[in-house]
Amino acid sequence: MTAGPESHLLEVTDLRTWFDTERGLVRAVDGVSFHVDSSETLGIVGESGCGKTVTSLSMLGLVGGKGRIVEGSSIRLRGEELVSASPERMRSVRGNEISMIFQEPAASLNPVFSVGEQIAEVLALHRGMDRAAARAEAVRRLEEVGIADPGMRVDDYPHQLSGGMSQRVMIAMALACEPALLVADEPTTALDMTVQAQILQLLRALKAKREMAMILITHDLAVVAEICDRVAVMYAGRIVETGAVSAVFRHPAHPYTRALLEALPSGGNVGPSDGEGLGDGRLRAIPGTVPEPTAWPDGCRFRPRCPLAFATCVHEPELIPLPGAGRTARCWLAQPWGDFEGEGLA
Amino acid sequence: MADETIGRRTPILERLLSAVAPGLPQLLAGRWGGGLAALSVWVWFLWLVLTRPGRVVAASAGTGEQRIAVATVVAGLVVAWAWSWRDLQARAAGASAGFGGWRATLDSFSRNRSARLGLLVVLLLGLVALVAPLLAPFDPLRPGELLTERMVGPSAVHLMGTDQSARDVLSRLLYGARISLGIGVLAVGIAVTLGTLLGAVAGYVGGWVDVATMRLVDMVIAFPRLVLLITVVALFQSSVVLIVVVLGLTLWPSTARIVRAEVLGVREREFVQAARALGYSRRRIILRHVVPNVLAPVIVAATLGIGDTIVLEAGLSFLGQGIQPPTPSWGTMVADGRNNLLGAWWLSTFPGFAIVITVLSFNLVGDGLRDALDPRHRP
Repeated sequence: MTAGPESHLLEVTDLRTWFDTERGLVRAVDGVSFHVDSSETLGIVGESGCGKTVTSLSMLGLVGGKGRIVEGSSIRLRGEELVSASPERMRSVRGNEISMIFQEPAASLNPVFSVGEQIAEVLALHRGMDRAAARAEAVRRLEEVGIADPGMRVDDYPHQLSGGMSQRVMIAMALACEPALLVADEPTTALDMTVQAQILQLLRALKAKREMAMILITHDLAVVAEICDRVAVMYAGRIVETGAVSAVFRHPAHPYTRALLEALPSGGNVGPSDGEGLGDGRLRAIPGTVPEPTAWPDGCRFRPRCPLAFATCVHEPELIPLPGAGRTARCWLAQPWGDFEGEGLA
Repeated sequence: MADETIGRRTPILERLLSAVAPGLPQLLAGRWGGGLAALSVWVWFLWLVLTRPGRVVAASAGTGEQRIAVATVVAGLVVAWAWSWRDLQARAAGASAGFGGWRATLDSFSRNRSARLGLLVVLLLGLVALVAPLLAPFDPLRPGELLTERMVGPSAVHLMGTDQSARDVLSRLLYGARISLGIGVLAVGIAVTLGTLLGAVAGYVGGWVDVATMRLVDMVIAFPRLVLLITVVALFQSSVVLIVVVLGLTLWPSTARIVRAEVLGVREREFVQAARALGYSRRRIILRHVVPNVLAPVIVAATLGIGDTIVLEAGLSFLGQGIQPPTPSWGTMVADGRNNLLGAWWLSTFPGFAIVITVLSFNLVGDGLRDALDPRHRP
């Protein structure tokens, strides 16, 4: 299953994005590696402040202000290095090869232009379409994302749309140029439950239709279970566990992953199976908060909050490969001689 | 399908009406705004041409000033006629093509009664200024009979009386509108363009660009504008162009400040980030995504600025440093009449009123535009 590096659509290696602030050096993303293949959905989960959003902005080269991508980081799109790419090249990547949608759909649309104009602008820029062609295409795109009566809606302004419709329009804009990769940063967090399900459905359908890869950034494990193929769990600027969604959720190898799953009202298919560890069906909050990014703890960064911490944890473990495709965990207890069980063995 | 073909045919009567009196069919259909504008421009300009054909012919071969008047009349007639004709066809065809962005702005603006009135006056003043050479009953520059016609009160011949040189006040007022409005609009145009660009770049780019621009703003604002104007005018020969440029170059900082402050807020909004994520260049984001979102306060500032500038020019002329006689400007006229305010009230009163009404109208329009341009204020 493990493919060579050249065959990945996007490969991120040892990404470090740091911010020089008045309070000190913020190592928001601190050595993150992952990859995505075509037609695949990778979920990146973690609490607020774990560096999920900075990771996604780094992929698009949108870390501005005091932020910088540290030397030695690598982001390769079809083998092409993006970290050192020229600003012009990055502009043609954004919206065209990698697109992004954001958390607040209503705020992500420009209030002074109609949605048709906004979709048409992307097409005009990246595809060189003229006004009439871009407008016609905009109507088609709106229809594709399930907007009823797209011929009328194309002239609507963002304030005339509901949250769900705004997110559909954002998706239409982001996918207008048929990017190879869509980065969705909390795309459903601001929407209510029924609309969430519709948007996820839409994303899944569009992804399947175009064989597009998707990176879904979320703190909602239910969303990950619903739509993702693989998942990477982030904590304090690092990835602490990776693997296929079913394997990770059924047999979490890292105490943080386990804690996240136990903090979730068990909805049947999500969460560790009964009889394992602490899985007694009770909701558990994770004690404490994510540490300040100016001062990550020494050793394992989850140690101060970890119920299973022991002496060895003052040394930080590497991402340890586990049995099963792409399964890794950054925990001493996940060592092959540690306690594990499950389908990965077979 | 059948309905569509019938709908496309405009009734003969309406077409005929539109050809003779553009705007009338629209007016009869109950659409006041466009219909009234087209009809009144048509009737007024036609009346101008028919009552004084000799002057129109002479003016079209005359100076640049006079030619502008003739060009305005011709353009007004053509536009009114063509608009009415095409509007009928568009109505018959049903839907209008293109993005309907301006439709909502227009609708909202036309619902605002005082803004409508302000716009009417502003447009009227603008047209009057443009066609002044055809409209003015007398020559604004040549003195009349000094013995019999000097400082005569308003009468049927001289509707607003005559001044110290026996010149017709109404004619001078009409010509003065050209100077006052022209200076106001051009100077503010320069100032707003400059201020918006510099303010937007400073606010969006930040860093040393921002610091440098804002210190420049502080410097220009710290300079007493009237003193600077008087100095520059004293150093060089006073002319309309000079005054426009100096006013434009001193008025931009207030716009720049407003725009910068607004841009600092807009820059952090998610749609700007989304625009970056779509691969738009910095220039495109500033000009197409940031600037349109800060235009509402700019437009208000600009319309207020036109009023201010007209007052400033009037003040400068009042002090004898602005428009040099015998060229009529409202400020000069007020200044000229101040010594005879008790005996000949009409000398200062009419130009004074003209200033007040103009400034007031611009302010009304500014307020209306502010509401109309902000989509969130639309129902």
